[in-house]
Amino acid sequence: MPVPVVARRAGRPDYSVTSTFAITPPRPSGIWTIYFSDQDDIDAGHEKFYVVTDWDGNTLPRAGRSLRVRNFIVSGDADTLLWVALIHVKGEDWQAYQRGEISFDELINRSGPFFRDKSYQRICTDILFYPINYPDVLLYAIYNPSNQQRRVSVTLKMEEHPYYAGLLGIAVSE
Amino acid sequence: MKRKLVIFRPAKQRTSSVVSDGERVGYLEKVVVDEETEA
Repeated sequence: MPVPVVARRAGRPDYSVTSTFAITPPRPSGIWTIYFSDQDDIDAGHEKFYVVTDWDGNTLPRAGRSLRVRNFIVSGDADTLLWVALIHVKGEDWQAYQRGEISFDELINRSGPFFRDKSYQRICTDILFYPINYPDVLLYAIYNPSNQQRRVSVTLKMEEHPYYAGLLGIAVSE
Repeated sequence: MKRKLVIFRPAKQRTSSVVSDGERVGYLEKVVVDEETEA
């Protein structure tokens, strides 16, 4: 709504440019937007699982927060067939793996992919709503089914939100 | 099929692996921490 100017000056409109709307802070409601990118070579017939971290090596989401992947892009050369997945690892399974109680295969077998796709050259998806609550961990996986090494590029746009306490345990069915 | 588990760790120098939240930018290096051949 325009704010009247008390002393109007000639040639100027009768209102200020001051907005009555609140100025939006950079992280409204404590939301952090996180960009992550990488490129890697994947050998023929290999599947790589990547544990996403922040600059201190903390897995995502970080303590007390929930992670939402908003956009996931994987690309390779024109003739590159890509198999990709976004995977939700339960915190207890991740900790059991780190203590050496379960194997890497067991860790993956217990985890739930919430997005999978196969395509040539490029995969780009928006995830509508899939919160991952700390201490659960986000992984992404890329499989190279060809008989040659392939180089792929990855970008993840994510958001960390205040903890979705009410959704704990719902995101991945037991 | 071979499976590899890769974890990102903070790098001491600039790399092509980047994470940012708008306030801070970090560079990461990849470490293969586990490897298994699926039956």
